Amino acid sequence: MAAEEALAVVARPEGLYVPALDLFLDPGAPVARAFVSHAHGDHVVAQGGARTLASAPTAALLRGRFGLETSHCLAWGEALAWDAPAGPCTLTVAPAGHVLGAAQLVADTPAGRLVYTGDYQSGPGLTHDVGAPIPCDVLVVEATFGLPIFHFPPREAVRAAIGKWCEERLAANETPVLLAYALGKAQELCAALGQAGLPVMAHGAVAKMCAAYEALGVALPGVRPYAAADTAPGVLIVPPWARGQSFVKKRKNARIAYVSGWALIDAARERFDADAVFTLSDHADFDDLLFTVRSSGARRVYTTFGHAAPFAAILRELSIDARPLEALGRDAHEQDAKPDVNEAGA
Amino acid sequence: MTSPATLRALAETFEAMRSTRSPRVKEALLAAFLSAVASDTGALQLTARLCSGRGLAAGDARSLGVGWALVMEVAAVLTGYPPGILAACARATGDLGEAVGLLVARLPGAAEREGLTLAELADIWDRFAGTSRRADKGPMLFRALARCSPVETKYLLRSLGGGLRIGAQETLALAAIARAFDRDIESVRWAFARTGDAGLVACLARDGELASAAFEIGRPAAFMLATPHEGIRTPIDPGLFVVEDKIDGIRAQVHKRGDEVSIFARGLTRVTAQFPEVADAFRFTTAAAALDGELVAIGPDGRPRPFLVLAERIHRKAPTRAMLASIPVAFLAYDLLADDQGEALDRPWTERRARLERFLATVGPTPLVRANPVRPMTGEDLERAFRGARERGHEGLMLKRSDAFYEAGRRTASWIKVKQAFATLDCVITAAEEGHGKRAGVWSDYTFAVWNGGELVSIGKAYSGLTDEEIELLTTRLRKMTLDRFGRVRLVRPEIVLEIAFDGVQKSTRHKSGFALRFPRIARLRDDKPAEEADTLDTVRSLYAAQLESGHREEPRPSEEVSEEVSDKGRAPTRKRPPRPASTQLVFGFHSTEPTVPRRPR
Repeated sequence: MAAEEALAVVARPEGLYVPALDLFLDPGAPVARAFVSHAHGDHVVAQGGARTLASAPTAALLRGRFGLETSHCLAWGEALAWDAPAGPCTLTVAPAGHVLGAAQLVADTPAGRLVYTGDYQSGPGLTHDVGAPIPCDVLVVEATFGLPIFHFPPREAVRAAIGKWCEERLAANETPVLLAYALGKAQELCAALGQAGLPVMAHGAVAKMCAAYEALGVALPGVRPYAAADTAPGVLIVPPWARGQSFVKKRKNARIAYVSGWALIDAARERFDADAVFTLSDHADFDDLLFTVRSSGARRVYTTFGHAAPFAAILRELSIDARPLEALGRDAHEQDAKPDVNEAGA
Repeated sequence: MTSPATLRALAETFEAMRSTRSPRVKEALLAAFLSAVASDTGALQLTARLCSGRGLAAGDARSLGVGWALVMEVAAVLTGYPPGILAACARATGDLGEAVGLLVARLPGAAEREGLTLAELADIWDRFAGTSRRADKGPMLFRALARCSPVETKYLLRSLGGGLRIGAQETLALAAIARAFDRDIESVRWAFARTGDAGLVACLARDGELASAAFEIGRPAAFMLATPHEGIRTPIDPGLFVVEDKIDGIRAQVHKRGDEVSIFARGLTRVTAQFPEVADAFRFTTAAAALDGELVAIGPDGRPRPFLVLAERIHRKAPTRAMLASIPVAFLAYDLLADDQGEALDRPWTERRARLERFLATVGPTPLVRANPVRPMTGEDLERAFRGARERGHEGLMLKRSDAFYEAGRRTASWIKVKQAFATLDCVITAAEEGHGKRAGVWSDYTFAVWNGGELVSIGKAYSGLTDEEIELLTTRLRKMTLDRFGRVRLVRPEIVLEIAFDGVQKSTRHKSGFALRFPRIARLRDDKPAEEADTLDTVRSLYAAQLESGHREEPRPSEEVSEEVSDKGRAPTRKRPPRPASTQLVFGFHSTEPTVPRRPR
């Protein structure tokens, strides 16, 4: 049987499922065997199955953040023998970019190789390992920004622009407030601003994640936890959901910037009532997704999350056998903009 | 930049305006642009009109007639993406113009395109308005867009429909005109209210001739608006006010001069073709006038029919003969803005009313229904008038100050509307949908339901009543409660209870409950209430029955009747409950004689 048939992927109520591996990919409900690609809340709605598989840094973040234990922690490239309906398989994990610990799953089976990108971005980041396309027969790729309107500017340029904006605000005796997702984006900003020599104050949810990063060996110097009484100058980093909270609204001379891939859309500025927006994403943009699909050489591509259906349609126009898989209860805006329950109290 | 009068310069100004939160900065940016193009009358007019939210002058009988489908067709050729992908992009941005602009930005050389001058754009607008042939408009739009850079593309398409999305448009445009030409904002507003044309007002402001702005029959004036009685802080003197039934229809102006009859709705759009029988009713008089009033569907007994019936007529560009027969519409006139004697805006209501009656006497036998003002003397008289209005099938009362001018374009204390929410219901959210525009990316449209035994049956949809912050929070909660997805609609676990206020119950086949609510709006989130304790279909039935008894609304037409299974005929509600009055009660303060002074425009 051809690899694309033997390694079919299906959408089940619990999440994406690979029958040949008897394995769920980032399931939304408790299952016996699951791969967790990274530690964002929407990928760990429920755990506790007998066999969970994650990269070592993701396992550490899951433990620290949600108190979840992972039965199989893998270092990059470490092989795990996996008994499965398809026969003896080998599972490995490779960096997916995105955030610290974010992993692609590589499953080598007698029928061929399947790769699941999880949330993904190619190219270097300041606080996570470099994601890159992996050759395979069957590719399951995220499509959060899988529309041709999503073309992101170079990350270095955006980081520099953010640094410049913050510097100008501080020079004008204002408090620059960056709205950024607490895990991943916030740490990248901390690192970038730290390199630029700017003092950073981290909202509780952000500070907690910064500490977790530092415990995993990512240095974030110059970051202090935010306190209401702290009036010394600094860049305040808060999660987007805290935009409406009184400590942000009441902060004297606060100037708000929204930092996200979604900042590309005009409506984002209105939604977050922001003074400035910066298009900086932890996800692949449309070109990056196309590059990743092409480079993989996959004969079948499953698209999932966000704009799975239109992205699959575009791939089919390019004569690629692509099919969308809809994951329920999760959509495009989740990772970047939305609070998750576990953070809301932090 | 060689000339400031280019679409690129204008689009870049719009981008700069969009990129600031400060209304003052927005105003300054637009004012600077208007000053820069001031010597070019065509460019000035077009800019001011576009900024006020319209491509042609208000009252212009023509329309650009470029719709979503045509733009999609042209954009597909322009960008190489099929309509399905374009639609997905437009959903993601909440705006087709923005999406096409982003796609054009990926085309080689797009940023360096020569662009259009504003004179060329005005010419294109004229040509759109000059033809109704789709086959002509497509190539015209393609040729125009093919010359546009990404930012021009975005704003050219936004100008064609959906709005510029750069901030409060009309207010901002008028403020910028005042600033650009150093005129008093009140004078600018005054001129705009009478002419409805920001392009003309900009030229008058430039030439220092705002005072010459004149209302003309055939060109709509901004409507005078009433303040809800809850919003009136000072007690009102009943001796100064007259009272009318508040008519629940479509607010409209009817303009008649010579052989021309025009009907304008709110937003100053021309709706003459939608209501041919109303236009015909005015054809026989030789007198001229501009009237203010409401369009209503009229039953055989001459009473107004439910708004839902009229709604069927609104979206029809040209009604069929069958529709004209089954849903006849009449114009209920209650004010006069001008007649053969000239403009009447600056005359007291008493005089305008007398002139209105004189004009109506010339109209002849028509389905025209006249509003009847009564002079109330006491608070008791008013209460009686309110009950009477409800019995006659109207939604409440209008109190009008008899010595006040027609304050075009103002929400004024000289007119006071007295309404009463009919009741509220606690309903469960069963589905949610992403909004558009500002609400793109958040779930702002909710379908709600009541209990029928163990089953939830939908009774309506609501979009308004919550703050942005509440919508954000609801979005987050609903996302985690998603059960299934059909296109844009997400079915959610029925757990969140909303208190819905509304003005009436009607039978309807649109919703599974067999009923629809009139003017549903979200009164508040009822997080204190578990879904099981939401209201039942029986409650809705008894509200409907109570409403019929009170004579509030007639029975719907047979076509609106729902099937027998959900009808309440011959079946007593299992749980009786009187209609719950809404929290706002009628309160009149008739003890002080402190007058509210009508604003006298210059």
